[in-house]
Amino acid sequence: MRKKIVLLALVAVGLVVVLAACGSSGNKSSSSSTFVFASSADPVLLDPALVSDGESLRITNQIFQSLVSFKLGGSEVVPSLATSWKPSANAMSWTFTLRKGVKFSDGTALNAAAVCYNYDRWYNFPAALQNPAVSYYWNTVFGGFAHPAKGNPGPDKSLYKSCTTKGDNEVTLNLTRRSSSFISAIGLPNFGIASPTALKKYKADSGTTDSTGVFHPSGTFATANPVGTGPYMLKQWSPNVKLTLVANPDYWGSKPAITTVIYKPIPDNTARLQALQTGEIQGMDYVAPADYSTVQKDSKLQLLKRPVSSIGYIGMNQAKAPMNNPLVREAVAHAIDKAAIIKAVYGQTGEVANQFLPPSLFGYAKSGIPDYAYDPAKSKALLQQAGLKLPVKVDFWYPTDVTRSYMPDPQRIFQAMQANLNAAGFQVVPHSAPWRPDYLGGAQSGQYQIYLLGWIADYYDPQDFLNVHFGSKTPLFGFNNPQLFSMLTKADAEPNPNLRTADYEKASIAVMKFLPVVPYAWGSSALALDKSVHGYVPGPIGPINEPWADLTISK
Amino acid sequence: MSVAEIEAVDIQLEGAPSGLWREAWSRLRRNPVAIIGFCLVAFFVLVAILAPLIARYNPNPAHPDLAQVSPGHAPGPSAAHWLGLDLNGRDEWARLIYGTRFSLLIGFVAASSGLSIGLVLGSIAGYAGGLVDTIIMRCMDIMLAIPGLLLAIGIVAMLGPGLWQIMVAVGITNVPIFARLLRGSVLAQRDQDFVLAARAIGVRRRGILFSHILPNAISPVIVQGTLAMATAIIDVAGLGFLGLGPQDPSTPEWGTMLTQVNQYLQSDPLLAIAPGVAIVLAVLGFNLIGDGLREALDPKLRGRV
Repeated sequence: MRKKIVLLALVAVGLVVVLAACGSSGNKSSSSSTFVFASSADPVLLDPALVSDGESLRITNQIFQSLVSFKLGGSEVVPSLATSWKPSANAMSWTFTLRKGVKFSDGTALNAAAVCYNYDRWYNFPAALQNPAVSYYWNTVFGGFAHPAKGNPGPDKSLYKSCTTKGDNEVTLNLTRRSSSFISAIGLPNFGIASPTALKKYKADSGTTDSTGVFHPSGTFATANPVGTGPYMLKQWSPNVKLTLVANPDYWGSKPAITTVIYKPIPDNTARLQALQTGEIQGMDYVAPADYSTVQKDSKLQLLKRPVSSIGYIGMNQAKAPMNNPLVREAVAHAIDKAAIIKAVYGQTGEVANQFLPPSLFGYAKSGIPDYAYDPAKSKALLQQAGLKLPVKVDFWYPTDVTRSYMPDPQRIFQAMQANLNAAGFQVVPHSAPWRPDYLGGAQSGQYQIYLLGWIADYYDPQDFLNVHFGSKTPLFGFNNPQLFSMLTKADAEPNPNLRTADYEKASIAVMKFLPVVPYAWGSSALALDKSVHGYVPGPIGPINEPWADLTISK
Repeated sequence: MSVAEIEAVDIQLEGAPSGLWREAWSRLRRNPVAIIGFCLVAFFVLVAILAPLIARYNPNPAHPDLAQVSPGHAPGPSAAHWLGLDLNGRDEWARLIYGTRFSLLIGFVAASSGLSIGLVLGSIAGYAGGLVDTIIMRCMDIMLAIPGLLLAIGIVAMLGPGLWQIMVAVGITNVPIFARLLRGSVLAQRDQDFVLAARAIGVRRRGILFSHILPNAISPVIVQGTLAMATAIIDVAGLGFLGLGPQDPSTPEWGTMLTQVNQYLQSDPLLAIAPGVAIVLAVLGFNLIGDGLREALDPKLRGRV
């Protein structure tokens, strides 16, 4: 018995020592030139051309810069490595004037040849890197490769044609067709320009891609030696523990006030918030909706909400009757009490959506959208008008094991909608599947009748919302509407920004009249920072355009 | 010996089994722990039967009161809603009460299906012996080698998630436990003198097994049965918690109710505590009965009334 007490006392003393040590290390890291930030996952790789996840891009966006960039907190294109640009008369060649005196962090100069080297590298990717899961954004934006592996798209599908230089400071990108979303697409951190010397030296392109689409590099460019022109450079990365960035002494812009940034992956929402509350970190991303009020009430913390930018919708597959009947789709739209669902499940993280594009994006229609107000009686009447016997049986699917900004708790959203639909003349047959790969696969191959889904933009352009979803026939929605298809193709090709906006506004209205989906929520996410951190601008595209170089920490 | 004397002996012999049960019952009655167990189980059974009278609300109303709910906040207990509302604006008390139906029913079906299949397999193995015994028992050994919950998860993975699938899965994991237990008891009884006597006077094998051996071998199975009920309720709640429960998330099943408040533990602990306490009490009730029965039926304690 006495032995046990002694042992307990020893354990207690040990715990106190450990806790004290944790406390002191926490205090140390809050010195003014170091910023410790946590999010939910570790980066995958640090070569922006080979990743598509937000955490990798959050880091690479500090190290690399693209020709153009986006205004902080918005979606307008602003100069970055290029100071100006203009399209040719037919809008198929774009000429960029490069900023003078810019150097990569390995000391080599950024010039026109370096830019072309990067674009040609992406266009000439070897087979392993052509996998859409690896070079997702090149595939999405440019759509083809110079030497396609079997089954991959070739030069005939490519938007990119060639890159030409004129002197050291002028670069021309030649396209195979007109595209107006091209200029906002190349502002993505994925098209950040890397040092050609480092790409060669650290063998950026060698490695293998496994059957699940994960690239395993054999060189060290993407893991230890990413070299770009950005305000920070990589000091050290211990995967799943921490990643340390230090200020780039050769940076062309104003020197960052914070000289060291430490990034930590903390997957558990509660643990991440606790780390912030104890001072172990000074900033975190993805505050859980239930924790918003906790952060807001904490006198030491600030909550930064991003503008709503994602869309949550009920998908309806028109290949599965009676969803091909517009009256039935309207009945679904009138059955859902969107406002109640947003208030109960999203709280401050969402807004009621009346159309597919979020309000902060051009092409959003301020008026003219048909009003599908909550009206269960009208739903029943519409179903009867469609000649159906009530209740109408529908197979309604929802995903498990997932949260998204447009879908913070799918199961609760589903249950609320289930009650709504059952009260409006439907009889819901519930189905669920794990998000990846079952649910996405099932929905995309057209197996589900109606289902919960949503979209976070790859790049903030209406093309990436409307054309991607409704620009062609897909098994996901199962409809063929040539009129809508050509309307969207024309809108994307329009080079005049004002006319393009007007075209997309018209398309937004046309989509809501045709009603292939019922949009119900625009979602957003939020960060929590220590009050001593200043200058963080939360933007609609989230972590991929939130540089740390402008931050300051007050004592 | 006169005819009357022989008849008296006969009567005594026939009275013996009922004496065993009567003795067990009187021992059980004096065991306060077992009485508590009985009360708990009786309480839950009553709740399940009288659910529509006690619940006060529909567990799945057509128009749930979503207006009262926001992320991280569900209204707590009030006079109108004894346990408050859940995160979908439904009365938590009503869901808990109706949940009793689902959880008890699932537990009962799972345990009794496991028991009946195990009973048949075990008695055949024990009585037949030889190759039949080897084949059946090796299969049971293979099943026993896999941890119960893991086996259940595997079966649900094959059948797909759902209420019936869970019952089948938990039932199957119970089969080898009962089979093994019964085979042991049957083996012990098989060579007893009364069996030999029955065989000598020409009773058929089936008759011997069902009329003579089984009734004497059944008592450990009854004990195991009540304990299996307890584990079945936990296993079902566990599978529900892992998301393998009913496809319809609005089903008021205790395990499913627990899973759904998983991420709101800090803000709405009551929504997790309520089904948690219900599971604990129901399981405790069955465990106490099981323990009481085991003591009551223990042959070593016979005669100590």
